[in-house]
Order: sequence, then structure tokens, then C-alpha cells
Amino acid sequence: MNAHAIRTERLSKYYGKHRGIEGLDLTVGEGEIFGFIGPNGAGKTTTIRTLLGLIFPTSGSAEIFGRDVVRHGSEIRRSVGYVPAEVKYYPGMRVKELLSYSASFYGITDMSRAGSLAERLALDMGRRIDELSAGNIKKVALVQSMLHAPRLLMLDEPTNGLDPLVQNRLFELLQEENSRGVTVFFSSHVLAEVQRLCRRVAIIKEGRIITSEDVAALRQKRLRKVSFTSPRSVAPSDFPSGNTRELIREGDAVRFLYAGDSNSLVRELAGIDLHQLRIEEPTLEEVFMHYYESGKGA
Amino acid sequence: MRATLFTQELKQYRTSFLIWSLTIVALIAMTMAAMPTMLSNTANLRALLKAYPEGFMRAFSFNLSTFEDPLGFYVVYGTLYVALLGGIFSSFVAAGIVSKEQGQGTAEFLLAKPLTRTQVSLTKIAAYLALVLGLNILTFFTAWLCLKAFSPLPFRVDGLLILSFYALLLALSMGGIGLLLSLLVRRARSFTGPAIGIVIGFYLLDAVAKITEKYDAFGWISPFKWMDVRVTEPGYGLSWWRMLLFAALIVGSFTASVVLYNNKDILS
Repeated sequence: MNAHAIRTERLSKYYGKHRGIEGLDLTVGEGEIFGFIGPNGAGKTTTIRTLLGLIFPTSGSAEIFGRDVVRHGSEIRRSVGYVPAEVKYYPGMRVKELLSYSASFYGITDMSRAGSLAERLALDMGRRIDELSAGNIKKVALVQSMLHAPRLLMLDEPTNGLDPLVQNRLFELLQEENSRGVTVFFSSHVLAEVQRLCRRVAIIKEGRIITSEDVAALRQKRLRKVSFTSPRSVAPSDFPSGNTRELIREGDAVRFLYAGDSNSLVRELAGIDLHQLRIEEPTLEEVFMHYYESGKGA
Repeated sequence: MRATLFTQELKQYRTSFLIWSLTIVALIAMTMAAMPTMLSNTANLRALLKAYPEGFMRAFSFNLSTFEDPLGFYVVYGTLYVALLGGIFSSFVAAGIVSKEQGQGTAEFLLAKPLTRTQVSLTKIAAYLALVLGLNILTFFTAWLCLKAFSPLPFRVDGLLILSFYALLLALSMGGIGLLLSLLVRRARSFTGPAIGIVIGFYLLDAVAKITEKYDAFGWISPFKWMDVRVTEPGYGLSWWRMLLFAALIVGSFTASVVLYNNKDILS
């Protein structure tokens, strides 16, 4: 079994002169739940669509389960389930017909797995697709992505349109799939869900990966959220190490992110007249914004 | 070729096929029903046709023998529907059969399946061929039945077969052009409108070029001109160079389309 579910090397995609992704180096291990985060237009969908062979790389290479995505696309896609960000299906079809049509490409005739997945997501298979809400269409996409028991699930903003209850069921489902060895590539701009589900994450900015590491490590890695009140004016110059990021003063309240080790933070705080000091672990959102605004790797 | 994809394509075009074939069949039947009256009044028609300009007569393949021969009559009235409407149907289906998936966003579903691009395009082309062939067989039998039913004079069945075969080649040419152009458009939302326009354009080019002999050479740009409709002339048959022209256009456009689709970015 190959250790990497996905590996890209200097993968670039340009749309004419416009940048899609640039020099993307990404590795996702088999059996991981991998988060791929970045705002709209950062290159998340371009990366997924290139991996699936919907668009072709301008340069660089990409492999899924050790096979080149351009040369072996058809064989690779047999092991991949995909949920696009924007789901569109054939008008006039019923959910059951669409799922049977999808299953036929994998040689599946037994629809019991599709039925049980639909039941888990509270999806009525007898309804016409053009009568479904956006959330229900997303459920159809989720069922059709999993009905052939793929080894890799590529999910592009899969929770869009789903209510919190169904989101919870989806997360349970993904964790169950993962526990039987399925790799999950989870693209999102909602950091809380990535934080909840994924073990490793890559942050993409303007077509480039700016960091890729464990969610826990990313949150803990030398970044501290510091807030306190002080009767005197506090400025970044009070921290000669230069480790403060995004220092904000509101009246006598001061808050900032500290990107350094704890000993140096304590030494620097010792010189300030402090009240109500709080040192916390930042949320992933704050970590993301830090990386995103500084544009630096860890 | 994938059977389920093939069946799905046929289902997608089921209604269009029914509407187009019923329309063409009805037009042929209605026109051919007038044949006994027309053929029995050749003397009056002879006098009437003298009033038309010569260019007009050429543009619409009118000549006096048209009204003295059942197949000649069919060329003027029936073939107009078979060639023009059949060509439009063929172009409409071919231009939509691949690019429609991109336009309606279902390409994202289909191309994420374990299929190669070649499998997808060839299966879709096979479905297109089944539809066009189906329409042409239907129109051939409609014409044959109408000629049997309405013609007061005997007619050459092989002449009708050759004419129908030319009509099929013309339809396939229009389809090939429609498919190729639809794939050249980067973000194909719907290319069926322009595809229909192209067929009408070719038809008019052929008709206009026939009006004066000076512009006759321009007519060869249009595949409508390649179709030999001189069915009333002795020795009428399949001409190898006309077949070669059609074959080059059909094989060339479909092959280029498959190659183009294999390398095309499917943009969302």
C-alpha cells in the first residue's frame, strides 16, 4: 500500500494569464483526514479539479495513490469519491435514478449501501432532483460520492447548505469512513469544522501553500493569544524580541498574538505594569489569520 | 463505450428526437400528398415556371423535369426538409451532446467517474450517430411510403436510397462542424443556437451561389453543394469525389473533436 494518498510536486495551473495555483507541494498520507483551508479564490477548487483530471496542470505533477493523475485518471477515479462545491445534476431525474446511474460506472448493482447512506443523511431517494433544496442536493452528492466505498474522498466545501444536525451526521460518517482506512481531503473556508474534523491542515493563499502541518501543532506552535489591561500605554517597542503580531489597543486593554517561546514572553511581560493577564491558545481562525496576513510559513 | 452513458444520452434527446422526426415526417407527407395534383398539371406548371427568373429556379433546384418525375418532385420539396431540417437536428444534437454537460454543470459529475475522456466522447458520438441514423432511416421510409402512395408514375428506389445517403452524409457533416465548434468555445454554456445558424448559413450560401454562375464556385464551401440532387438525370449514382469530400469533413471534424476534448479544461 502506498503511503501517500495525494502528492503534488510544484503543481501549477494558470487560466491564460490568471493564476490558479502556483508551485503547489502537498502531501496527504493514506488514512488521514486532511483539511485544506483558504478563502474563496485561493486555489482550493483548482487543486481538487486538477487532481480529478477535470483540468490539466500547466506544470508540475500530481499523484493519487502513487499514480499520475493525468495518465491514470480513469483508474484513479475508481477509488475516489468527489463532492464539488457547486452540485449540479441532470434535470428530470429522481434521486434513486441518479444514484443508480452513478453506481453503474463502478459496476455496482446492489444499492443497499446507497440506501443506508441516504437514510443516515435523511435523504428521500424517491424525490425528483429539480425539486430538492440546495441542502438536499448536497446530500445526494455526499451519498453518490460514497456509494462505491472509495479509498479517497475529495470534498469541496461539503457542508455548504447543510443544517447543523446533518453536518454532525456527516462528520460522524466521515469519521467512520476514516476509521476503515478512507482518506478524507476536506476543503473548506470554515475553520471551526476543519479544526473539529481534521488532524492535519494546509493553508492556501493566492495559489500557494503557506503552511501544512498538524492542526494541534499549528494551534500550539509558538503562538499564544495574550490579553491584559495596563494603566500605561503599551506599544510593540515594549517587546524588543519582535515576537508580537497584530497588537491592538482599546483603551487600557491590549491584545496580541505572541509568536515565540513562553520564557521569552514571560520575560518581556515582566517589564509591564499588568492587570487581568490572560494567555490562551489561539483558535484556528486566529492562527489562520496570522498566517494569512503575514503570508509566512511556520 | 459505456452502455449506461449511451442510454442516458438517448434518454436526454428522446423528446427532441420525437419532435424533430414527427415534424419532418409530417412535412414530407403533407408535401408529397400534393404530388399527384402537381404531376397531372405539368402543362400549366410549365407555363408558370417560365415566369420565374432562371437564378431562382437554379437556387431551389427547379426544372421542368422536376414536375415530370416523382423523385424530381421529392428533391425539390422533400429533400429541403430532410437536408435542411435534418442538418439542423444533427448540428443541434452534436453541438450539445458534449458541451451541454459543461453548460449545465453535470460534467463535474460525469468526468469524476472512472471513464477516460475518449470513452466519454466516443460514447456520446455513438449516441449522436444512433439519433441521426434513426432520423434518416425514418425519413427514408416516409419518403418511400409517400412515393408509393402518391406517385402516379414509377420511380427509382435506388435513386431515393442514394439521395437519402447523401442526406445522411450532409447531416453528419453538419454534426461534425457543430461538435467541433462547440468544443472550441472555452466556456460552452450553450452552442446549439450558433450551430443551427451555421447550418442555415451553409444552406443559404449554396442557394445564393446557385443564383448566378459567377458565384457558383463559392457554393463549394457549403456541404449542401456536395450533395448530388440530379436524381432525374440518367446515370445518377454515388460520386467518389463527393463521397471523399464528405468523408474528409466527417472523419476530420469528429477526430479533431475527440482530440480536442481529451485535452480540454472543463471549467466550472
